[in-house]
Amino acid sequence: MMTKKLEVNILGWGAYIPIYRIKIDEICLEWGEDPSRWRKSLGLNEISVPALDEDSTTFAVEAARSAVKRAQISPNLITAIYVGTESKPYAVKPTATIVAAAINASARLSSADLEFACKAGTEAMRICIDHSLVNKTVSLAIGADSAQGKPRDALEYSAGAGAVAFIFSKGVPKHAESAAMVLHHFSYVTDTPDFWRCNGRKYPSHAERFTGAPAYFKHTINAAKGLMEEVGTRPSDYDHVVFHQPNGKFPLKAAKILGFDIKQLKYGFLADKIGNTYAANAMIGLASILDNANPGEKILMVSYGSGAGSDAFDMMTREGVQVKRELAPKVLDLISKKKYLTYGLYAKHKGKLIM
Amino acid sequence: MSAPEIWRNAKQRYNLTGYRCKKCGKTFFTKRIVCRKCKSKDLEEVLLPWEGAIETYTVVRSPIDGYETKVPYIIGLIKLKNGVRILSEIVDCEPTEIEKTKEVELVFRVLSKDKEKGLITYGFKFRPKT
Repeated sequence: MMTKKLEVNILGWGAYIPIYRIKIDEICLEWGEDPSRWRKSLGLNEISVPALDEDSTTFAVEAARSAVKRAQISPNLITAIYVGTESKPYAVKPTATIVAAAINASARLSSADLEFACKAGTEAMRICIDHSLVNKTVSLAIGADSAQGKPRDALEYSAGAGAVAFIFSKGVPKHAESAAMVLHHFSYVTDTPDFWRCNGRKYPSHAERFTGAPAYFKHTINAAKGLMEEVGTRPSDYDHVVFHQPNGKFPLKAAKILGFDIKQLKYGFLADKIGNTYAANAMIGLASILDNANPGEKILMVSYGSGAGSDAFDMMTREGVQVKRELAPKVLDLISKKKYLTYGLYAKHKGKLIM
Repeated sequence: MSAPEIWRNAKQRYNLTGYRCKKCGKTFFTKRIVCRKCKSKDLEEVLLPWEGAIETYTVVRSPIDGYETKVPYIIGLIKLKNGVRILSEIVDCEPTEIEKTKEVELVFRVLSKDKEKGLITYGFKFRPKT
């Protein structure tokens, strides 16, 4: 069944990755673990870490400012801002309004923060795409997280930090240009208790191996298949594919199950360098693809959020992608600027030291 | 910092807004009612440049309240591209690197967090230009 094309433009994109990193080896050293075993089991080398004065809101603002630069529009044109995150600095007080003020957006705005574990960012994308489609206006979707993992838990070895923002518009405003077009989206969700954080708890919990087959793979694969069935495409139709990357192994296995070639993951696969950036995860991969793709190339992005669900997006790059990528920092440039922390400093940066 | 104070200063702290005298053109950081140069009261709000150069700096090892975990941190006197000078914390830069750092750019960071009620003050700082 072929569904009607959305044809919503991506006018701009922007990513933010803090400069601090900790190596998996350094975490292993602290806990007396074998580094080669952890690197092999997770497929990760290092993870991004926030500075002492950063949180998911500061990440979101930095990413949004880069997206506005690339969109080359007045922030006043933006009529919706949605932020997906599971590490809000406030339990009650929106991040989206802080972003709006920090980019000088108008107060005539629809905005909210969203939570759906690592899928909250693409849920913000879906809302903004549909908002732009219905209202013929410009919208801003952000995925941002400063992920937490309990000391010595497997999550501590994978929880990264970063943000990414996309600006959508049904038409193309005067003096702006389209970088890519979202053609279709598709969602697949079920009630699956693979990962959760209860109210008042500092760290999330997870169901260990249960996070694989019945959670990540079931949803990612069904969302990808569902989208391709509705659109009438096959894996070979896509130049680039990006999956949610909770570690360095799951997305490679999902790609193989679905019939994608490893070359299609070239630009979007970043987990081994920055870890799992949660709500920003697959979207940072998409930003990296836009940093590198040629016009007219097809992209498939599939997110995953525990709880659980996946959003799949069918997109195509346009002429503007090449000029726009030079207007703000590229993902690989952000990844390459780094400073390593000891475990002690990492613990301080992550707020694990209670004074 | 109180909630009204955060709200009142948000524009200045988030986006580095200043005031320019419409009569003589002198620009100031932080709000001014009267131009310090020509005494005119005809001033307008303007966005200041988000890039500048460090003129001088100090490495703080005896912190102000709320900055205890950040020691040592760097405070710099920055000359913005339009000539306006401002004081700001320099981040993403170690004290060993500051001597070689000249060009800086604005970043959005947490300025402080109220210890009792948790209210966060966000605003600009500067980092070495990327």
